[in-house]
Amino acid sequence: MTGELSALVTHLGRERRAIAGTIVLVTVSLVTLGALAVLPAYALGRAVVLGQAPPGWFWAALTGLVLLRAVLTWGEMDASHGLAYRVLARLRMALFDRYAVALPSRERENVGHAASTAMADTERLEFFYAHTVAQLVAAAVNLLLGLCVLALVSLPMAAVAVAAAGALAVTVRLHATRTQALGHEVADRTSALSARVVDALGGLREVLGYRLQERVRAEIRVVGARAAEASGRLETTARMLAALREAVVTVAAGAVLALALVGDIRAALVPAVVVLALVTIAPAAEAAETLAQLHRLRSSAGRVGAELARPPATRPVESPDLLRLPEGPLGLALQDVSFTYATTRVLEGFHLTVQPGEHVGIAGPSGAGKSTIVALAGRLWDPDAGLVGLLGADQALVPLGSVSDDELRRAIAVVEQDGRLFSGTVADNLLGSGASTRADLVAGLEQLGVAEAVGADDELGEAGVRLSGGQAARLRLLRAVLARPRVLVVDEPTADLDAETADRVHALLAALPCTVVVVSHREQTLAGADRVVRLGPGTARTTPP
Amino acid sequence: MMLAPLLARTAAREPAPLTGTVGLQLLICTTYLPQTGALAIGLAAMVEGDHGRVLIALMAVLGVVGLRCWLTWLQARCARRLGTAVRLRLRDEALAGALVPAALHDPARRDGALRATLVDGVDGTDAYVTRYLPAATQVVVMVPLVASLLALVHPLAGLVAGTAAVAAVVVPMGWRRALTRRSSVHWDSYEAVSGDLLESLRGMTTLRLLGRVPGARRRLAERSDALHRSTVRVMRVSLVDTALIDLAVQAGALAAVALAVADASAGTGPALAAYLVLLLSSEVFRPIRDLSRAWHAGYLGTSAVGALSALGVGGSGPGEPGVGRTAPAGPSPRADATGQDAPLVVDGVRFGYPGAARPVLEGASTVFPPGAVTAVVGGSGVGKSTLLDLILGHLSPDEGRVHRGDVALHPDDVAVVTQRPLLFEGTVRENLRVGRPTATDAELLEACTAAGVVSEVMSMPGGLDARVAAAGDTVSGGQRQRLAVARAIVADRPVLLADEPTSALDPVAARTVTRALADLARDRVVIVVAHREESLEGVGRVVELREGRLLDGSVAAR
Repeated sequence: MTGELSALVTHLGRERRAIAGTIVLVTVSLVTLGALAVLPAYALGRAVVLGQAPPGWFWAALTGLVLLRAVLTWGEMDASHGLAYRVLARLRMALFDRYAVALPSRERENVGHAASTAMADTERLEFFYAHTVAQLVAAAVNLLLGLCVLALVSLPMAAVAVAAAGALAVTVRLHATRTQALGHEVADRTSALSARVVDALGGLREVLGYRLQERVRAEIRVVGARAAEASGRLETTARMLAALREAVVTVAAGAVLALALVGDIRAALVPAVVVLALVTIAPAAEAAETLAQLHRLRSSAGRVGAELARPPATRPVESPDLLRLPEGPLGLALQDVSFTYATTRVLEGFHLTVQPGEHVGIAGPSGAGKSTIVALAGRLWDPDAGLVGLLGADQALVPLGSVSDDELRRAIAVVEQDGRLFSGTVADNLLGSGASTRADLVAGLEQLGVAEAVGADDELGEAGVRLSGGQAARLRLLRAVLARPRVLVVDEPTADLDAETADRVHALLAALPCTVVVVSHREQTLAGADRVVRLGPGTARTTPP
Repeated sequence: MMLAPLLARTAAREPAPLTGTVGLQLLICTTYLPQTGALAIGLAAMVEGDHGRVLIALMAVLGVVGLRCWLTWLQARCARRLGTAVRLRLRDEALAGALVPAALHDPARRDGALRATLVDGVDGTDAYVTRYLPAATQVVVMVPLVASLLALVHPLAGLVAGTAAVAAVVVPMGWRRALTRRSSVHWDSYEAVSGDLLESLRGMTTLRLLGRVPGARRRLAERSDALHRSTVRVMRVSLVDTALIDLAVQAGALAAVALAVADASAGTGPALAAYLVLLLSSEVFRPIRDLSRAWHAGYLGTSAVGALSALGVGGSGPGEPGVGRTAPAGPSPRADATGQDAPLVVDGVRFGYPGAARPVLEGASTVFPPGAVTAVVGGSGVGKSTLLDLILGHLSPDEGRVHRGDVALHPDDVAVVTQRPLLFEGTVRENLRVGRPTATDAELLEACTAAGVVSEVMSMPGGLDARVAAAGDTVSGGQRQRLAVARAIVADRPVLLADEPTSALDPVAARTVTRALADLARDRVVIVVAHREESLEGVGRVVELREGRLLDGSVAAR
């Protein structure tokens, strides 16, 4: 198997010993099973034809094999599943790590697709990691062993078994293209379904407000039916191929029996030989089934691979080129910055210099690029051209892209307009940086007038469901302030607040010793700044102050 | 055996495909009996040197194999219908339970967990109903049947094999409860990982901007490890089952054959009987082996059953008293007496969240007449959004009522602009039409003009056909807000509620929206929740929400 699947093997890196152990277990288990089928048949043949009973130790040995096989069954499954789920846990984290550097993409996509890949596609790969490598090796060993024994008895019979194995190999190629295409279809449609569901859940208030439940359900029914239909077709194909393989095995056993007619096989051996042919070929049929299953995994493997190869949202920093930020207060500078979303150029040759310790307001009409400036200051993305950096007291500019992420985040905190609170308590959310104490938190809640509504230990729920917009906005601001950054950039901190509460925010911002950049279209909020930069409509073009 | 009554009941609601799937499975399993017989006859004929009979037996085997292929094809088709129908029904019922007003105020709700149930969990039930259920039925029907046939040939062998088969099925039931418990822990941890992951993905911007990625990673890694551990724990129990079944299968078959060998070597009984014992004793266990294989495929579905029932699938909904009345969905006849111009009345409403110390609203009464925009003001957190949810019917009052012209407000009477408007994945046109799917393009553009967003819509690639990503993230906050206003205008309903409709807008755009709302207010009720004084521009009357009551104010006083 090539491409997508071979990429999966790389994730097995640390598991070499576990794989080797599993292979041994599965192989011994399979051969034991074969012996358990052939030996009684041999005994029965001799008893029927020759009237000879095997000695007592024969039965004792077989009983031992029965027990061994039961233990091996458990051991082999335990080993292979343990291995698979360890790898899956690592894959999930690898995906998260990738998303953590690649999201948000400039196109701002529906993360339902990503969630589907990290959960469902990864889970599908369990089959690859638990049921392929060891099983294929074991089936091959078993086939060789069976063929050797068969060849000792009768070469034509061995030839029949070889032919059957060849036919099974053909069934793997048969419908490979179709299985693969259907696998892709299933994964794509499931992903679309996942995105639709995430969309509906995220927009619950609108869904309820416009009574869209019926429509949403009908839409999801359609998308879900498409996914179900594709996986149904895939399942039908798989069942038919399985039936075909079983037919091959049965016909081969019949052919062996027919050969016994013309050959000079002793009648006493015939049952054992027929069963031997069966136990030689049947595991090969299962191996063929496994190989066929892999086709349907390709799509999931491909998606996981593609996600792991996502381009990072910002250029990674190489450690030898890392710069340290100067001590003391920091300013912020955007020099000749241009930035384009998929089709819209938002900034072109934009300049902005905020001196260390300065409080600057930014105003401008909707769509002028205010939020883009905030995103670039927080290094969500790198600018297409120009430089964004932090300014030392000596006016030396350190580009954001040459500071380690850890140091950068400690120096600058950004509050976006639609930032999120996470499930957990208020304290979990607001004190995560470790820069402030619980007492600071309580004082901050008091100062912003949210202490009555929420306490430090209250559960917020996902995205802070229990809070009003204004309360959430103040908690998000406080979260950034409590991280004690040297530069604070805030997008529309008072949009959801009444005048009195907004004044609390103004007071808090005014008292901050750090550099502050406030984006707002509210004059009272801008009034607290040392100076206000006003952006023109459309592409922001300003000259250095 | 793993029983999931909910899934079995759901499958039973598709009687034809269910009967087909299970019945054909039984037929397929039955075809192994003539095959076994023919093979045994062939082997016995070998001993007697009757070549003609061997060939006939072989032809019979071939015939049976062909027949089985055909039956398999038929069964696969039935299973496809059954699986699809069950998935669609379960997902639909679960969605109905998930899209309820109670969820708006539920801090325990996690979208990622729901996604896992609604997509991965529901998809997992397919394998249970199409593979596990038929395999289980096959065990119940075929094991006694084949064991009896074996007993006809060799009573003692039949008894031994039958007993082993029963043990293989019954013994694992001893720890079924442990398995059920572990598998529900497993599903919980699957949901927890899914919940954390979706939350992190949605909030990745915030996580990155605040340098919180390492913290989120740590939490996810813990959850992911817990999922790994709980998965392995479920597997361990089920693998003990597998090993025991294997033990019973091998031991039973071996014992039966040993009996046959003893008889044959003693010279009693014909060769045919001996070979029949050899082959039939293996057939007794075929259904059990099939069942054991189907377990793996079916377990994700059964472990999601708990989460599905919690969403009200297959029974009574998760009715939480007080929060969220379930109004009948879809259009319902509006009272004819209620004209477009009837005022909206809030009459003595009292409401508190379950578990909260004091009610948010207590004796709130006022009248919202058409003619001019009414603003509801009040400090942050006094309950303005709660009042809107009560008017919208997302919450129902503990006391008092909300009505228009003495008729309870129907959800279809209200258009809404929420504080964080959400656009759905799809085109701008689809998003604007949600309140009135029949609106023409001209009407849509007219509404966009009124909301001051028409030039931006026209400059998007494709105009009304431009695609909007989920959560409307491809458009700016201000555009999203104005599109939501346009959407509410398109909906053309007698009551329009807007929660801070200008919070993300610059003064010029805000004035356009304010004017549009004032225009609409001439012939309908328009209520604006306002946090900021700018939002009071163009407002005819102000109502203040304070300490749970609605107090009349006036614009002039402010």
